[in-house]
Amino acid sequence: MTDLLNKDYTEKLFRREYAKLLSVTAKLFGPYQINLAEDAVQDTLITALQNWRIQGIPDHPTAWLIKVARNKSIDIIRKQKRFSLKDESLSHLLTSEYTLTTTVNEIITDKYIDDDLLRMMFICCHPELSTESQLCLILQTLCGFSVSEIAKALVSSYESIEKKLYRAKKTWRDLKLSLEWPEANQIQSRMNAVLTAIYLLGNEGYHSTHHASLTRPDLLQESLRLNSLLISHSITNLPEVHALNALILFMNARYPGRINQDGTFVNLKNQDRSTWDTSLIEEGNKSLERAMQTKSITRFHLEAVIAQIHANSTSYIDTDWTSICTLYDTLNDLYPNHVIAINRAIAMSEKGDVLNAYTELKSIEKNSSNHPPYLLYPALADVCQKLNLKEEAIINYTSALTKSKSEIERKYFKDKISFLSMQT
Amino acid sequence: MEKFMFIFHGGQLPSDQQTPENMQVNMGKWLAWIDKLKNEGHYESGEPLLPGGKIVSKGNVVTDGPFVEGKDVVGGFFIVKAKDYSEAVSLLKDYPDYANNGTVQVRQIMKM
Repeated sequence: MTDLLNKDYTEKLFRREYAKLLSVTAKLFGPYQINLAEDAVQDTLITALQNWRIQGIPDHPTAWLIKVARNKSIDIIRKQKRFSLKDESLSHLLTSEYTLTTTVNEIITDKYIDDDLLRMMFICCHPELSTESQLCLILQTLCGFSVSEIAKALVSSYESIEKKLYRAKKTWRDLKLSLEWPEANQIQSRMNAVLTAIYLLGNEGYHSTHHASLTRPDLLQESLRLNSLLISHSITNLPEVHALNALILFMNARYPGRINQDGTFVNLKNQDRSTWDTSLIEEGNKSLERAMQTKSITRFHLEAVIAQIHANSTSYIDTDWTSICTLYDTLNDLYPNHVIAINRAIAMSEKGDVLNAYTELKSIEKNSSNHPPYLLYPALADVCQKLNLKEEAIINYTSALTKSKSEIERKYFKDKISFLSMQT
Repeated sequence: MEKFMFIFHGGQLPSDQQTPENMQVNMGKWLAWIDKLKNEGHYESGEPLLPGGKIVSKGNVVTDGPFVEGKDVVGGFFIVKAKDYSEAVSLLKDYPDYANNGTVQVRQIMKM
């Protein structure tokens, strides 16, 4: 893991440092004036680029950047005609030339960076913001993604992401948010939002087979890194964080099996399990062991156990579908939603209960007539194929084909359709 | 072997492209270019220059400047070794910032 994260650091130096610098300067200016922090960071990184590309990267890049960021921030404060902060006493210290430098040096420091990054994570997942906005903010501020990279990663348009970010930052401004930890009694509920956001990022990365975009698998790594930040801090080092860690590790481990060498999507049944990363699976198993040292079982626990069963099964057929089905039952009771119900039906079908799976999927289709989750179509198609309902299978593969945004997956559905058409 | 000076003018990433990823890519290109020049025995030294500056004239009169446009700002220089002008110029085919409107002035260093 440390190797993985170390390699990640050098390859993504500017992104990683962007996140640190932004969190540290946001502590000074406040997220409600994030534009000032962004200016300071931009100037700092440009200076670094001009220097490092000729002189090489210094031994301690963060320390180097912090020094520059202090000066850039001081410049910005001096240039502002009426600089003021919500915190009036701090405002005073920063508007007096006698205290400006020492105050900035005290706040902009590399001593508490992990703490600052975590505060930023909570601010990004503020309850006033929509989940989608939260993801955009996390990707921009904590992952250093540009607007077009976020659009690519979330399969959206540049304009729509830009609008979401603009509105989200306006919310920060309207609420005059400072970079503070949530109140102790709010940590638990705020943690849920943070974990859900990290979970969704990982999910986006894992379930994408978006060939055109290389940033998608990146999302898996980003979610792992953000989650490891939570693990590193005593306040956020909770059992459910380890459960999520295990889940993301299993997804990472299995990721290479999802795409063939020729770029085609491979479903779980046909994946070459030797491509799965056994050391990541081992790490996931250990993480899950730690996660289980609790009485309160969360959705992340349940999903991690399901992923663990898959990751540790030697073949698709030898998978313990009965246990998986039971776990989905519990998940569906705790967090009833269509995606979980569909997955439960898939497990039912795999353990041999194909007819009940079909009934279940049909009822989901009926109950969500307007917008059934996209996952429904391939699942229904597969069950229909098993029941020898070829025409219905073709109809559902065709729906899946029109709904899928992934070229790789589309090719898989096309192949299925032409295979079934030949048989009818 | 003769010595030449490469003087880098302009070539900053346009402001709407100053993303962490683009900066990373740009730095990677420069470091790879310098590595190549070193491995081939051409690279002697190089320094980046801060923007701004002072101009001193008769009577030790100091003025700020030169104030030049972005595309003319000198961002740094290299000293390289090359057989002749044509070889020196050929070393610039890997210069990473042509796409950002960067230009390089090449000057031969006079020998003793």
